[in-house]
Amino acid sequence: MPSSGWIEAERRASFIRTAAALARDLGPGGVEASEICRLTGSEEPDFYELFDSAPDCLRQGIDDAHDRLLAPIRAADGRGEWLPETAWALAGFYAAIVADPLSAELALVHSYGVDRRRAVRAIDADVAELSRLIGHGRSAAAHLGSVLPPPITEQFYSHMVLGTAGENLRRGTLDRLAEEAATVAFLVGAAYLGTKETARILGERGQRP
Amino acid sequence: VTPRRASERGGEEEPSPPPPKVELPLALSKLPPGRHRLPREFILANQRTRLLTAALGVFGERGFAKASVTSLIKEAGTSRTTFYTFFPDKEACFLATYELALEWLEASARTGIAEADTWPLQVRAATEQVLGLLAGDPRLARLCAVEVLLAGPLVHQRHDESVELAAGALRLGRAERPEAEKLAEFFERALVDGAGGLVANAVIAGQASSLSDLAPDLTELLLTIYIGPEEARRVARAGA
Repeated sequence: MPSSGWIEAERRASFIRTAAALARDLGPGGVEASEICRLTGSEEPDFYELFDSAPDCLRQGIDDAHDRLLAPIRAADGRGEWLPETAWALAGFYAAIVADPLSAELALVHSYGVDRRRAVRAIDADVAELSRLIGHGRSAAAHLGSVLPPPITEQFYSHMVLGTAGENLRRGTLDRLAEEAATVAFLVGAAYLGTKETARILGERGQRP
Repeated sequence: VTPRRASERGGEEEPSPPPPKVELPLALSKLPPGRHRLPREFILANQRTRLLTAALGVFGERGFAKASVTSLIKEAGTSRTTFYTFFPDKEACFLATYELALEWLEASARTGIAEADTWPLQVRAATEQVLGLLAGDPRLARLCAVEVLLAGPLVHQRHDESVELAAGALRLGRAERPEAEKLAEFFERALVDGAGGLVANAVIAGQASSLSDLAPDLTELLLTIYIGPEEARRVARAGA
């Protein structure tokens, strides 16, 4: 018999999934607690045990999604060879989007419409995490004697990673993400190591676009 | 727990400074009340232009979500009937404003491109022109870089087309380096996404008026893949 903790976690996930689907179809402003309850077949007191309001439900969904999407980036701790590790982490990030596009869309497309300040903080945190990983390219570039790119490079490529994800979610072209992950990894590598060295490293590991 | 309406969102807008008051030419001014014997075409053009001018302010200061038809007609000094003569809804008004903004940006970029004689210099000139125009009017910057992502599907589609236009201009750089022809088609869109994200980030951080400062670094990043890091840096910073 499932534990009460498991039931509560499943119920919470179900509310958030439904809220995310409503946000996708109606925009965040169109998400109502009563509609979430109707669609999940739940009573409103059950909903309000877990969330203060429909926006609160969306906010918790956004936090969960950012946490899940960024897990592959956080897992890349810089102990491996920089470029292959970065390419794997970016592929993992895009794979996490494909695995649960509804919550990814909530976090990367609709979050500004839910809570602007919170969305800005969450995106800033994503950019910081991505920049940490991408920024290890500076040591790799210095080791090779390559020209170091300008200071905004890490932010530029972090926004490229997030922007590419957002564009594909908006257009519903998630089938392109795997190829685009490889392209973004190539661009990131080329910014620090040059195109030839990047092509060689990624080519040896079958990670070249 | 008292249920709250979903429309009661937790987010608050950043306060933005009031726009400067400017004297408008007759074509943009509110027309005098009563009979004035002006041609109907003139009146319609005047009303539409006033609505679009007002829309730039309202969308660019309050954002798409908080803007309303009421606030748009109040700012423009037109009636609700006049608004619906031109636009079926708020999104259509946003789209028309965005179209106008894109015309300014594209014309500005083309002016820069026409004055540069090589592709790398054209990229630099277009980057400087576009960032300069956005820095000159933070409302325009917010509308084009942030609010465009929050409006409806028609606006997204137009935004997509503008991204593809910029990507197409970058794609010309493949002629600079033979091996660049092998790059994935998506390459340039990714570069434009990166640039768009940087600009949006600066706008959200309240630094729209400093966007021009990004031009040298951004130019270098856009050019590196095509002409190599040393040459990209030289072109981006020449004369800086």
